[in-house]
Amino acid sequence: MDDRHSILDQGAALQLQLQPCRPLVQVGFWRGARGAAALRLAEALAFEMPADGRQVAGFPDGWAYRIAPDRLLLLSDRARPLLQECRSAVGQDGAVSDIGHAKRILDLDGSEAVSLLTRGIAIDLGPAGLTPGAFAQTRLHDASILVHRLSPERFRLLIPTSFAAALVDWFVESWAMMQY
Amino acid sequence: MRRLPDRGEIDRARPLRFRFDGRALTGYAGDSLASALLANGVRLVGRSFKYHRPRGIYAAGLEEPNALVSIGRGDARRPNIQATAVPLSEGLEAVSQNRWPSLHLDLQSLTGLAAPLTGAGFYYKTFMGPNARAWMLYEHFIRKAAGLGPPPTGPDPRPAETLHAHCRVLVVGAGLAGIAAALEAAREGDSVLLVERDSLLGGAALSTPPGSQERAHLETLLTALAAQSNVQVLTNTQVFGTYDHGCFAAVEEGEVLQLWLIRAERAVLASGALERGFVFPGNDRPGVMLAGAARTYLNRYGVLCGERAVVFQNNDSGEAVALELAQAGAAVTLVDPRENLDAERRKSLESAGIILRLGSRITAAFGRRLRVVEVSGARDRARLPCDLLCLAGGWSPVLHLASQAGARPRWSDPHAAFLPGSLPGGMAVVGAAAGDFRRVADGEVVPETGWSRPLQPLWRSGEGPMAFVDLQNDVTAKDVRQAHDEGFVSVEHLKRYTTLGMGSDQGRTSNVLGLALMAEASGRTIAETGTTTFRPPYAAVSLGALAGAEVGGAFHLRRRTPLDSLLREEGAVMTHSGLWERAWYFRENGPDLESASCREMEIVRSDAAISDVSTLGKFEIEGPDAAELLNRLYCNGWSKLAVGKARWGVMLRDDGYVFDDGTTARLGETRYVMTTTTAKAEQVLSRIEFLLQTAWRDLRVQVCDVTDHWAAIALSGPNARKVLAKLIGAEQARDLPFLGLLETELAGAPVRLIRVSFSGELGYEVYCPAQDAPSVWRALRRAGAGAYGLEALGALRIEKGHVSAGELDGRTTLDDLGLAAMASRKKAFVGQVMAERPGLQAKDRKQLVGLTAETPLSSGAVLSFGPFAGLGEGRITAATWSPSLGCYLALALLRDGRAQHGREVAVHDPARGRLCKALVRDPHFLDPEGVRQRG
Repeated sequence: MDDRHSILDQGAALQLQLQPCRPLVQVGFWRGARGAAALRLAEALAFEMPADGRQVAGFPDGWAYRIAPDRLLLLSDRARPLLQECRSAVGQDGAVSDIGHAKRILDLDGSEAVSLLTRGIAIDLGPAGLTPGAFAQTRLHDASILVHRLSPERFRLLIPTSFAAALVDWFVESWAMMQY
Repeated sequence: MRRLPDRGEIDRARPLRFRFDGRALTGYAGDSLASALLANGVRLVGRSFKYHRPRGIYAAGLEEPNALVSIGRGDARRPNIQATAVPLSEGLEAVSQNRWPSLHLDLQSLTGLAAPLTGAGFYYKTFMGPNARAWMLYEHFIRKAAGLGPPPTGPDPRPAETLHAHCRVLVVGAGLAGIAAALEAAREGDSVLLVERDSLLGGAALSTPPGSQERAHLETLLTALAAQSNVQVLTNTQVFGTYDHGCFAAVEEGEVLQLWLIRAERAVLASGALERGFVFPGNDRPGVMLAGAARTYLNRYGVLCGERAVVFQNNDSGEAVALELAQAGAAVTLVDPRENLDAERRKSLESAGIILRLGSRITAAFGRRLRVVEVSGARDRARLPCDLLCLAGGWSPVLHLASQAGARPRWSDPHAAFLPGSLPGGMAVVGAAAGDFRRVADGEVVPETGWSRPLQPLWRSGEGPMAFVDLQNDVTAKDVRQAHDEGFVSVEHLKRYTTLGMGSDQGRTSNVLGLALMAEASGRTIAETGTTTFRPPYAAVSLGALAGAEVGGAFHLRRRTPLDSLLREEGAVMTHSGLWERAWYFRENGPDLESASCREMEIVRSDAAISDVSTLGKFEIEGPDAAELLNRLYCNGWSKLAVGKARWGVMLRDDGYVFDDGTTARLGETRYVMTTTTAKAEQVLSRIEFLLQTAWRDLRVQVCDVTDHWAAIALSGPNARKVLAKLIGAEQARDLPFLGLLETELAGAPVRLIRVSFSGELGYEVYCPAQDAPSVWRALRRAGAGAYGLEALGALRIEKGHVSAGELDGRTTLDDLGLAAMASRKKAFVGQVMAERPGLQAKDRKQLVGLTAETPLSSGAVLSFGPFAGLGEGRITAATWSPSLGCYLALALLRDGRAQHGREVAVHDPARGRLCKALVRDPHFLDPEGVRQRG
C-alpha cells in the first residue's frame, strides 16, 4: 500500500484510494504569541488563517486544518521541505513536529461516498452539517480520523498509519454490505 | 375464516409458499405471517406461557401477545417472534413454541389443572428449599415447562451494520398524523426523516376499506410527500429508543440487520394508539381478537376472520368494524354497555343486518376454539353462537418514546388512557398518540377524544376463573387481586410479582387493564395508581443488530506496525497485544511457541537479535518549558538531563499509584522524545493534554503524538554493538554510552539510536521513520542480528526483573515495586502528595519479589505461607521458563515481600488446578549489577 492504491473496481459508484505519505506537520503556538506567529506562517505558505475549527484553509498544493485553538495541521500534496518552512516561520513562538509518516490519506470519491461514511462516522454529512470545504475530527470504529469534505461527493480522510490496513478492510467490507 | 376475493393490499399475482409446523401453506406478497395463517384457516397458533392454553391471533401488530413463533432455521432461527410483525416471504418457515409433543396435543396443558395452586408468585413461595442450591434444580424443569422458544446457540449469521442519520425533524410513525407532520416540516424547509415500522405508509388508514375518506386523505398526503425532496422515508424500521441529546435508535430487521442511530433537532412522535380488550372468563380463546385487528385483516389483507361475529365495544370504534364485517358477509351482533345510540346510527347499523344488544356486555366465552359467548344485560342473559369475538375496549396511546425521554404520562378520564405528560424541548406528540382518536370520516365529536359518544370505562366485564389480564404471561384478574392482597400494591411491584407487562409485547394490551384492576382493588384512582417506567427498547431487538458488524475479528480494528508485512514474510507468528498485531515468535527459531521463544532468548543472551517494538507510545515534546513538563509528570528529575542523553522515568497517577514508565531522550535544548508502554500510550497522551489544557496552561510546550511516525526496533545481545558497527561504523557504535542518544543514518534512513536495555543485555532502540522501517530491519538482519518476538521479549524482561503491564496494574506504588528511591524530594510532581497517604505507606503492602520453582508457574496464581484463604498473601504477575537459569521464574506481589526473601511459599492456581512450592527471592534474577547492559 505504498503507492496510490485503488481499492475498489474501476467503474464502481465509489472510488477509494490510499495515497502515499505526504509532507504533514503539526504546529503549536504558544499562548499570547499565536496571532503574530500564525500570521507569519499564513503569509509564508500563502493561506488565510481559518477563523474556526471547521473550515479548511487551502494554500498552493496544500491544506491547513485548525485542529485546536493553538494548533494547526499542515498537509502538502507535493514533496517540499514543509517542516523547515514552518519552523522558520514560527520561530520561537511555537513548536513544529513532522508527522508525515504517522498519517495516511484515504480519498473517497463517488455518489455513494456519503452513504458509506454514514456507516462508520456519526457526523452530519447533510447540507446542514459537514459542507464542502469543512473538516471534522472524529472516530471511525477504534481509530481517530480527520474527515475533509472536498466536494459533495469527495472526501479526504487522514487516518493513523497503523490503522490504515484495517480501515481499508473496513471500507471494503462495508461497501460489500451496501451491495447486499 | 376465508380470504375474500376483492379486498386487501396483497398482490395476488405473487403467491408465496411457506410452512407452519411443517405444513405447506400459501399466502401472497403483502401478507403478514399472521394474515396468511388466518387466510389458510389456521386459528390455533401457540400455547400460553404458563398454563399451555390454546391461543390464536389476537392483534395485528406489535401488541400481539399470543402468536409467538420461531422463524427460520439453525443459527438464523429467531424465537419468540410475533407472527403479526413478520412480513410473509417465499420459503418462510415458522414453528409454534412452548408445546409438547405438538401444538394440537400439548400434554403440558395438564398444568392448567393445577391453576388454582399456581397463582401469582407461586415460584417464590414454593421452590424455596431445602437449600439455596435447590433452585438450580427446580429452574431446569420450570424453564422446560413454562417458557418461550429456545434461542439459537450460534452467532446470528445475518449480516449487520450500524448507520448514522441526522435530520432537523424526525417523525416517528407514518400514519395520517405522521405524514401530515412530516409534510408541514418539509414545507418549512426542514430536513425530515420519516420512520415507519410497517412496509407501507398509512398506519391505521390502511385498515379502512377501499374508498374510505381516510384512504383518500392518505393518497393526497402521499402525493404531496413524494414531491418533497427534503424528506427521507425509512420503512420496515422500528424506532425503539430515545436517548440523550436528541438521539434515537431504530432497527430494520431485513436481510441485513440495520441499526440506525438518528440525531434529530426536533422529534414528532406519531406512534399511534393500541387497542385493548376486556377481562372476562375465556377471553383468551382462539377466535377472540381485538376489533381493530379484525378490521385490519379484513381491509388490508382481505381475510374475513369469522362468519358469525360478535363485536363488543365500550367506545365508538367498534361500530365501523361491525359494519365492515357485515358488508363482507358476516353475521354480526354489536354488544355495547351504553344504552344510548342516536337514531341515524342505529338505522345505519340495523340496515346492514347488525343485531344490536345495547346496555349489555360479554361476560364469558366458551369453546376450545370460540363457539359461544355469554351476553349479559341489566335484565337478561343469553348465549350467542359465534366464531369471532371482536373486542373494542378503548385505546392506549403509544407513549413509550416520549416517556423514555422523561415525559411522565398523565391519566385522562375522557380517554380512559394515559396521555403524554410534559414533553421535553424539541419533542411533540401528535395524532392518536396524543389522544386524538378522531377519524377523518367523523362529524360531530367529543372534543377530547374525537368520538361522538363518550367512552364508558369498562375493564372487567365478567367474573370467574381464567379471566386474563395479560395473555402473554397468563396473568389473570385473580392474580392481580392476589398481588394486592399480599401487599404488592405498587405498580412496579405488581409487575414484578405477577410478570404483568413483561415479555415481547411489553403489556401493550394489558398494562392499563392491570392498573385499572389494581386501582379498583386498592380503592384508588388509576391516576393515583400510576404506571410503570418505560425503558428502551420499545420493541424486541436482535442482539446481532446491536452488535452490528463489530463482531468476531471485526470487534476491534487491528493496528499494524510498519514492519507487519515484512515480519509475516519472515515467518513471524502474530498475536494480539491490545489493538496491535505483534510478532509473537519466528518459525525460523522453532516449530512452536515454546521452542522458538526459548531459542530466541538464547540468541539474545548469547549473540544479538532484533524485535519490533514500534508499538511503544512515542511523543515529541517541544518548547521552552518541556523540561518543566517532564519534571511535573515524572517522579524523577529532568532538569539536568543533557542533550544527547536519555533517562528512564516513572510517572504516578493523581492518587499516588504508579501510572506508567518509559525512556525519554533529549533531542535538543527544548526538544525531547518520550516513550511510554504500549498499553498506556493513549492514556498518557490524554492525561498530558488534559493537564496542559487545564492546570498547566502557563507552560509553553507542545506534545505531539509520533507513535505512528516512528518505527522502533530493539537490538539486544552481547554482539549488538558489532551488528551496529557494521551499519554505522565502529566508532559511532563504540562511542554511544549507556543511555546515550545518537541521531545518524542507517541503511540510508535517518535514525535515532538510544542505548537502552529492556532485556538486561547490551541493547539499543533504533527509531526510524515508519516507511524506512523495512529497510532498516533488513539491514540489521543482514548485519547478523537474529529476530525475536513478543514472547521472548516478555520472558527476557522477567529474567531481568523489569516491571511491565502485569506489575503496573494501577494498584502498586513506587515502594511496592522497589522504586521509592526514584522519587525526587526537590520538586513537585503528579501524585506526590497522595503517595504519602498512610495506606500507601503501610508496611504490609504487597511488594515486588521474584519466585523460582521446579514446576510451571502462571500469572494470577495465589501465594500463601499458610492455608489458602481469600486472596492469600499475594499473586503472580508474570511467569516464564528461563533457559538461562534452567528453572521456572515469576514476578509476584507478596505481602511484605522484601522481608520474605529466602522463604518457601505455596502457589495455588485454581484456574489450572496447580499447587506447588516456590522460593521467594530478589526479582532481579539475572545480572542484578547491570554489568551486561552496560557492557
